[in-house]
Amino acid sequence: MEKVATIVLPGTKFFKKFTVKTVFFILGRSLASASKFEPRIRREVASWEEGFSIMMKVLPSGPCLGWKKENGTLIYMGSKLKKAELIINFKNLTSAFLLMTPQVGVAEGFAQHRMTVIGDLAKSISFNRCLNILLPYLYPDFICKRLLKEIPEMKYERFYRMMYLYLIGIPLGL
Amino acid sequence: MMPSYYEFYCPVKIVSGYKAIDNLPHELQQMNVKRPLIITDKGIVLAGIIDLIKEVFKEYDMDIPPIYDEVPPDSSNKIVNQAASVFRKNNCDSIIAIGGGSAIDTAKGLNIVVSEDTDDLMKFVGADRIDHPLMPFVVIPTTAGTGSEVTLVAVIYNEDKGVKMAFTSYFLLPNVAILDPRMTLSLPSNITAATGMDALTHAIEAFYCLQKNPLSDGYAISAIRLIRDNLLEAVKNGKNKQARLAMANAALMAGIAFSNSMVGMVHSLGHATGSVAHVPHGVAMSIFLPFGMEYNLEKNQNELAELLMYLGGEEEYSKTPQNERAMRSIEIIKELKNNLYDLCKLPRTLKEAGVSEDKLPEIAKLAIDDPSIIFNPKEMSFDQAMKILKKAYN
Repeated sequence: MEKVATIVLPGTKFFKKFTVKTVFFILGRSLASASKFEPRIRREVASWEEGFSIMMKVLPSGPCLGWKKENGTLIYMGSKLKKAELIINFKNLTSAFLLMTPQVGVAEGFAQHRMTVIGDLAKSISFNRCLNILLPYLYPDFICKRLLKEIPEMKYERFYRMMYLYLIGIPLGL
Repeated sequence: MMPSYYEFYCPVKIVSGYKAIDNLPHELQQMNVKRPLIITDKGIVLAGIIDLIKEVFKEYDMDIPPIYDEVPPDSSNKIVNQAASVFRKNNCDSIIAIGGGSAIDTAKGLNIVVSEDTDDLMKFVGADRIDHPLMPFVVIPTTAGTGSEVTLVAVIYNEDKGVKMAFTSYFLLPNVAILDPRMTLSLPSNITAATGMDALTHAIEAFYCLQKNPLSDGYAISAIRLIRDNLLEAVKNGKNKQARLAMANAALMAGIAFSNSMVGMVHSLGHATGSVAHVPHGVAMSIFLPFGMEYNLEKNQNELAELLMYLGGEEEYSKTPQNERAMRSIEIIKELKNNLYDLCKLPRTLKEAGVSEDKLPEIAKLAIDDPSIIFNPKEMSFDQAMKILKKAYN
């Protein structure tokens, strides 16, 4: 009998998925931690209403990451959020992988249509500024130069805050 | 330079030419619609354009559609809801927008509300919140500037919050856009100038902002050339049908370009100035365009230098030394602004546009949160926005 169709089972890209999940965890905890001590991120978060939630999601059913504003700072929600006021959807795992590894910056990611935003666009710009401030605490300059239009001005405090994030903020969630 | 990845989309059927409007009933029939609602404003009715449309329907032996002509210069969510109740009362099945940006954006908002069967437009604010095709939608622009007839964006004022809200979705794109020079023949010279500068800003920002791609570049370049050759003539001699049709096509092409490559800080500042000081969008674009180009100069030297070819022509390009071409492009825009001021008093500065200086911080604050800022090649902080606003003030 002639074979007319082949059933294609969804493939799982374990390495990419694991990497995205790991970076989501690092990004989630570090932004929540930085929202407590980084004055520029605090200023941005202060402009959002209490209870405001943000979610990053890989379509169609990949890893996701969420934050919620409580008592003026961001709380890392992991993948617990089911819905949020601002949702950034990565169109596929490859797009999320490119942004999280980090080969492509957020602005370039939007320019390449790799993500879509659901929610208030003005808040998404404010959230993007938070990421721009956070990234130099996570990565050295030679990586930041590729990701950001310009590296925000930072003085001696960068090193100490970087240490805090990597030794306390990310591992302990403080 | 070739982008590593890009997307481009424009499914709008373009019908362009003198008496192109006569094809409207045929286009409606092609879409199998029976009862469209016309969205327009009182100015269009007074200019006799609606009478022209009625004639077209009569000639085709088709019922004259119901008309909603209450669109104000700045569309709002309440106006959209009013139009929706007229749409439902008349059992309409499609929408025709006739007018400038405000009428077209109202029609886009209306299309969301009636297609989604809701009264709360604000549920759909932001990007990609619509997930299915909307009602059939035809646009007949009566200005040559916004390019809204081919864009996926609608900007509608939220009366409750007092801010302009942006809606973007591929489903907002009209099915058909009809360009007929008769629609713009009666446009006053100052509006012709302001809307023409709006189109020029779309094309120029599309040419150097982050999402630029080879297809959007093609549309942007063609639009810039048409504007270079026709804007001053359309302002000087509004009855020139050739110039009017060329400007309508330029605005459309600039619209396709920026809908696919997006715009940058000139629009961020312009949207904010419109919200805070109610400066018409085209006027704000004209004021900020050279400042935006100057601001991005260090990141876009090559693109701005190349623009000289299209803004100034081949001769101007070849006689200007390579390292001066980008600056010369900016100078040409400044010269154009001065010419338009001499011809029709199009404001060159925020002061001439009647903006009070104490509004500048509020404008800067809104501008840095405007969605278009993400596509600008260079970051813009509050302090940087203030510097540009102060320069543009005097």
